[in-house]
Amino acid sequence: MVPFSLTTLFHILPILILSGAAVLLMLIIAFFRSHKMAFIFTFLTMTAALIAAYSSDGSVQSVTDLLRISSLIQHYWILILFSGLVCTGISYPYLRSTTRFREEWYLLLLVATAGGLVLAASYHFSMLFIGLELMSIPLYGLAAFALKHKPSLEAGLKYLVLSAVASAFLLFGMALIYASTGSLSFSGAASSSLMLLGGGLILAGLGFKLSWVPFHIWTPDVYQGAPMPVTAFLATASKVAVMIAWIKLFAIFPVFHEQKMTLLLTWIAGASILLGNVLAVQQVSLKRLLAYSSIAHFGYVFIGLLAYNHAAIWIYLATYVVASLTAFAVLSSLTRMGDDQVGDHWVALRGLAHRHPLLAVALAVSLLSMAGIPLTAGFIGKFFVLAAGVNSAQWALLTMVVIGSAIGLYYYLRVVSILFQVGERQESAAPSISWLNYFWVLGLAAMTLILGVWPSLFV
Amino acid sequence: MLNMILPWLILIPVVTGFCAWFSARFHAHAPRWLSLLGMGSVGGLLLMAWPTVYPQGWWGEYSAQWIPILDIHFHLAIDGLSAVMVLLAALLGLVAVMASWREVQKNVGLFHLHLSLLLAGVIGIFLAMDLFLFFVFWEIILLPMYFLMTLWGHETQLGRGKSHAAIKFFIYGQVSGLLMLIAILTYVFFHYAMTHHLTFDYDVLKQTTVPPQLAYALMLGFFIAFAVKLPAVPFHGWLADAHEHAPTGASIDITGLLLKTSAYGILRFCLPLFPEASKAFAPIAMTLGLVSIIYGGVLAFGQTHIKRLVAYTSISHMGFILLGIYAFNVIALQGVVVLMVAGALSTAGLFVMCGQLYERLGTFEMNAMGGLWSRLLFLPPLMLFFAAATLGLPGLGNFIGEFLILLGAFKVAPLFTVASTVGMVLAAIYSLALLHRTIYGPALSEITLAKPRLREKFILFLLAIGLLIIGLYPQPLFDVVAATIHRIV
Repeated sequence: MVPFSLTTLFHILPILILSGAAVLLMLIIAFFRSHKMAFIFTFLTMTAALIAAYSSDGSVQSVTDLLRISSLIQHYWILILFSGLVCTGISYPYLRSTTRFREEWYLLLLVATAGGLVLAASYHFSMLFIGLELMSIPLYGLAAFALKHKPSLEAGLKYLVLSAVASAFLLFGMALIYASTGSLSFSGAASSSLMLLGGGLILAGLGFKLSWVPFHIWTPDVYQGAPMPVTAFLATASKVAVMIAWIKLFAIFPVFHEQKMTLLLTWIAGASILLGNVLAVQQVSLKRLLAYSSIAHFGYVFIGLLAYNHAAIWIYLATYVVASLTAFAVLSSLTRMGDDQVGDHWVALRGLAHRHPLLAVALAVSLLSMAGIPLTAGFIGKFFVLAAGVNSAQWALLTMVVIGSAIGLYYYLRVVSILFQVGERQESAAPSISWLNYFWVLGLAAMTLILGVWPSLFV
Repeated sequence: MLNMILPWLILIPVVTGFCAWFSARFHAHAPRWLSLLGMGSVGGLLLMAWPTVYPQGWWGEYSAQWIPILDIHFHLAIDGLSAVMVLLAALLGLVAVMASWREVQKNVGLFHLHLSLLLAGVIGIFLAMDLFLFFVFWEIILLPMYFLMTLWGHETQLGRGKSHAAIKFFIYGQVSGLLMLIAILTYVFFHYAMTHHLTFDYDVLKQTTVPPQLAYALMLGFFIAFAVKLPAVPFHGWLADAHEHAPTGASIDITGLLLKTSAYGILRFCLPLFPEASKAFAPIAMTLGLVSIIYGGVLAFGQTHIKRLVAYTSISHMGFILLGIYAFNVIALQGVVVLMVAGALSTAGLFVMCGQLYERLGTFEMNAMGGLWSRLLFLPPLMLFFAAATLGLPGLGNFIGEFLILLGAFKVAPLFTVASTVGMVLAAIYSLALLHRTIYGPALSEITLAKPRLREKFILFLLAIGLLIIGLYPQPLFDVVAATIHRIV
């Protein structure tokens, strides 16, 4: 048993801030409905939590038996909170045209982000599950937030049903591990065949959230149907949080290092890279394209995982998060709640450079970053992952990366070409873009470039 | 002095490029003059610092820390070979700006930004002595080239359009670049395993002795990246399409600079880093060279699009260069450098002329040309001149290069050399075919075309005089690169 004292709670300050704020926001909404107020409150809370996470000293601290904080966790908290912050930021202009229940949106975002933090810090299967559900359940609501629009509703339901199945797999896996070791705590118990089965089921459960092939089927539909900031959250905060949980399990349980398991993981990685990239080629909607490309990106991450190189994984995820958020920030500037299906279609994006040059350049920067072009953040991430792969001699997966990059480059560049095409001018008045959107889009794009030119800032 | 100007050689085009971009809103001609100024001052700066006695090692070095945890430095160095290439880059940069003076009317500022960034990247390739930095420059030049092709390229009826060609160009470059990156990383980690010193520095890594099999694999990683840009025959698919759609300025830079970066890369990296593996690989490389010479020549003859024709002639030229590089002797390597410079000038001349014909005729199709001698003043004789240079007429630069390559290669691989002389015959055939299809024959129309302007004449004379000087008195060029070549062999 880890001795408990109130001071240890200080180490989980970001979680406490977010949870407290969620309760407070609920009260605020009950008495006083104001979109602007809810937004500002959430925004400040997220910022405070981010500062708290950033300023923690990063030493290894156990908070009861359930949570454990370390420098690694702190790094992931920063990523999750940063994604949460950006998603909140882009939500405000996105929600301006809706009238119903806008305040609850922020409540759900807060809870989901808190769930992500819990998941990241969990050191016990019960906490892992609570964190995962705390993050997922608000997301069902958020994905279906545009209730009047069928795709959004479909996204919410699909995510709910499939998530539930994945949770069942996860729980069954936990039960098997419990049966084998008699403990729900993360302990490096020696592997047995029961453990192997349990590990496989957990892999399936978490793999669903990370949309690894073959658990990826839900990704494009949910991405496309969900409102833009929610898609951004799903693509960044949610995946990062599940990834760190998985990294911990992978590092702690020897069962995942067995040869059969490693082989399985290599196959999953290779298939994710290849299938994600190949399927992305045929898309005509940027959200779907990003969904498939995220499948491929989380395949690349595997290389860092199999090389046991935690630094490489974090750097890759950080660059991926910044680039993805840039893309989603641009897309959410161009859409309003309910017209997502139109806003990210090629037709709408054609000639964007002539209508909104800054947005087009930012989107191009983010796509080039995802393609891993030097002097963008994405290149640094790819470089570290490749270095990890070369260092651990994973030639098969490196070959997949080369092939995947070629295909990836094709569809990313095609979008860039579309942005700069002289398209038929759209007669319908382009939605005016608020300064808040410009702030996020330009800030994130600049960040993508700065991290690429001067990587010492974060590695 | 030379130490401190090295970063400026890269920075100046970047700065003038951005200035050009912003200046577009003040005056239509401002970007053109600014980028002309940028390219001119790169050349001028280098000439000012040109040493009177050529040192044996680096002429100058510059190093600054970039990414400390990987010990990556912004390390630049210059020697004879780099200096020649940078000077060539500046000259062709000037030519490219002048050639696009009237062709580009849309987004002029942005066009010159990309042109300047491309030049800065190419100069970076010639100067970078840190493998990471080299790779960054190697990849980054794809981007301005891609935008030059998609935004200002020519759309043709046939084929799949300019953005397709641009993406194809990019993918070829990126995939081959990734193979090189993996080779670099393997090399660096091998060095780390041996010495526990993580570094990407060229001079340090050069000291490593790599076991033969690994060296061969690494050498292949580098070679494929270079062979794609060269392009040697199985990797040449992007070149003709890229040229067909690229605007004139970009075409000049593709053949004049991009292709030369790969020959430079082989000379700078493949041979000195992996000498034994390169020797073992020589027969294959020479075969690729031979195939390129003949294949490029035959395909050039079959083209009806004038820029595609010129593109294939450059494949043939690069075949000679590959043959010369892998002959591993001083004479052949001297020939390689001469042919790199002369080939760049003569092909640039032809591309400039393609652009000028396009401005007058509105087409690159040779079926629509014919009999231009009677319709156009001044340009047809110059066309004759550049075609003669391409076919290797004695007295002009290309002849010296090809002659020395054949002379040097004959000692090593007589059979290859004899076979490759077929290329000279093919060169004569396609060059004459080019002339017959364009300037000779019956005129298709009676209308006289616009006379060339002073600017157009100036570019062509500049290139022609360069070819003549190299053809008549190549010794200074030999002297500049002598030290580098002796170190390679």
